[in-house]
Amino acid sequence: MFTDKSRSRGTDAPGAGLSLEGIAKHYGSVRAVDDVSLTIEPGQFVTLLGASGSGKTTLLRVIAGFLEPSAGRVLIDGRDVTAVPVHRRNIGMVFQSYALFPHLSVARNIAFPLAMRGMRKAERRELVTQALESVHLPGYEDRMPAQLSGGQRQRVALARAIVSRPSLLLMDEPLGALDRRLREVLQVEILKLSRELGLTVVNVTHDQEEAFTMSDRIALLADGKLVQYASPEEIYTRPVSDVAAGFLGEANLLRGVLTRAADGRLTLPAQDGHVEIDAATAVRSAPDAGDEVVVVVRPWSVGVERLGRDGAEPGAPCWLRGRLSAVIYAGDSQKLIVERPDGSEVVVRRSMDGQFEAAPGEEVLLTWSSRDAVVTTAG
Amino acid sequence: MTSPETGRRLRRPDFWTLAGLPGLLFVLLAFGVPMVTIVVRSLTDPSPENFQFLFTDELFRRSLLRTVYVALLVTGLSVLLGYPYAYAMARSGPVLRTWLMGALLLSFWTSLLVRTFAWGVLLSNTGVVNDLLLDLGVIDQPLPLIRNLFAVLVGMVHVLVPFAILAIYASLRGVDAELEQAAQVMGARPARAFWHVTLPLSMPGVAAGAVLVFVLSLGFYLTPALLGGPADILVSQSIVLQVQQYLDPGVGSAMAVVLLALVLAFLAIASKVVGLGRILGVTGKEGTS
Repeated sequence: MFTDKSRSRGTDAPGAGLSLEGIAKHYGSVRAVDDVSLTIEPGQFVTLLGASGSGKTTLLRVIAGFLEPSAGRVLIDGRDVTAVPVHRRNIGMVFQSYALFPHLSVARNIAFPLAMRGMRKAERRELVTQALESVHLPGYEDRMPAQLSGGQRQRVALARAIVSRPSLLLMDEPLGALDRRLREVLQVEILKLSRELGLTVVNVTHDQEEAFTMSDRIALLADGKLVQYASPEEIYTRPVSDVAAGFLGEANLLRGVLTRAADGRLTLPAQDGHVEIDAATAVRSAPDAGDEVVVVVRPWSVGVERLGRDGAEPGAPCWLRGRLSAVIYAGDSQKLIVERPDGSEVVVRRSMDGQFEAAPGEEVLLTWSSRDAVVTTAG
Repeated sequence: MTSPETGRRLRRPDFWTLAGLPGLLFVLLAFGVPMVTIVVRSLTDPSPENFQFLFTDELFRRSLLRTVYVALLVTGLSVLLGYPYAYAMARSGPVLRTWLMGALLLSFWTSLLVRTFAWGVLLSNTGVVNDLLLDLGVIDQPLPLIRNLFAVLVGMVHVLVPFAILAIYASLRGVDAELEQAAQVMGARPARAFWHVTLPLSMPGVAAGAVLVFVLSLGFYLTPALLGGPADILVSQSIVLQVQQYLDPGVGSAMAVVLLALVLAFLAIASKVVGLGRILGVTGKEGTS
């Protein structure tokens, strides 16, 4: 969709590969980023996901070149750019505040990167028009940023970031300031656009849903360290630690030391319950008795029923007893919160079609298959 | 202040009105009355011909032009020197900013008279600068550093540059540093990013500072009187001469009225462009979105 006249890069490889090698950024004794290494293939959409203070924004600023890493190297297409200043890295960036120039019209905002790279005015106009069309804002050339809505500003910022066909597109919480509906629309649009242009994208967010929707791979960061770098599915189904499990999707975390039952099965001791382990679900090494583990049980995997009056021990391999404390209707699903005798809570998700009679306050039985749980460790 | 019951306010003025009354009264007596007196005198002592005399007086015309010329130079220098300082203050970390602000305010709060005499001590023929250069053998005659335009500019810029700095600083603080970074990502060298983004966005502050410095320069008396040469007379000095030497307060009043009219006319034009509130520092904020 873009005619490639002026760029030195060929059209066959629009996106660049990015490698981070042992990146660290220290502020005094604080390690904002602590030895992060990861490789991003050309054309991949990677999200740096983490809570605030996890180092994700610092890492992005190191990639952009605003910050010099305390240690490590940044390589774009195999070339070490650690010492290359920002303005010569040929990257596009969408800022959280959009950073549109308030004194320039939409057209001049979008033409800015072209002008800075020495393109002639006549050529700029054509590319600006195309860029505006690609973000569904045709005819907005003469508006001023102050006249645009939040979503429109975001689109203009995106158009400005891609107009010069950068080898790398960085996005710093680009959708953070928008309402949910607009966010979902733009997630899809950004994803489509980056695919069409074959861009390599590094997106920063704390929104796990956004990370899930958009990313080829997610780099999960906590306390400056890379916790897990994998596809969303893999992080969801095989979280390397309780941190990873807790960050991506709702999770019930059961902690304890494994014991081996008389029949050889591994179990996690549980008050008013019984938790068997399927060794095949272990993310790291095969678990053994005496190992301290975290068992991750997703809310959708848990079945719930009213407790029989007899109080007999159920025969299921994995079950817990508790008191239903809340039933929350969340659109297409129902969220049940069950309080365990030890005070902890278990979250259960059910689709709305199944009838469930128990009312808050009633004793319930939670069951699941040990194959649907994941055995991991504390991070 | 904005009581919904306007009826009650009519009967009993609220606290803030009463609190402001003494100040208002003071301004009226100490400023308003003398001002009116001067205007009246310029027309009646002995007659409005005072103005006629002024417009034909070559010396007055020269001093008026010179005043505008000096004010323009001071304004230009204050903005040029003040901008980098304001920029450093706006973009530095909290520690450096505190030091820069402290140094600025220390100078700002020091009496104008003290600062002007200090420059006299530094710049005179037997002053610190000349003594040092003579002792070092760099020169064998004292440099003419005082009683000339140079000394007037040094003194006036020193006194007025804080106004420029504070106005520019307020404007720069409203310019998101992220905009400059965005420009750099888009391929602009830091200097170009500054030129295309930060500078145009800080122009309102520059304009406000320039107007303020220019207007204050027009009425400067003490610094040019103490540091300037006898040939380089400004309007303010002409007024003093008329009143004290030639004992002609009527013509002196007329001069003051002309100067006041000049300032008001300039402010009227400038406020159309910049906004009076910004010049006076009432509204320091600006929309940056």
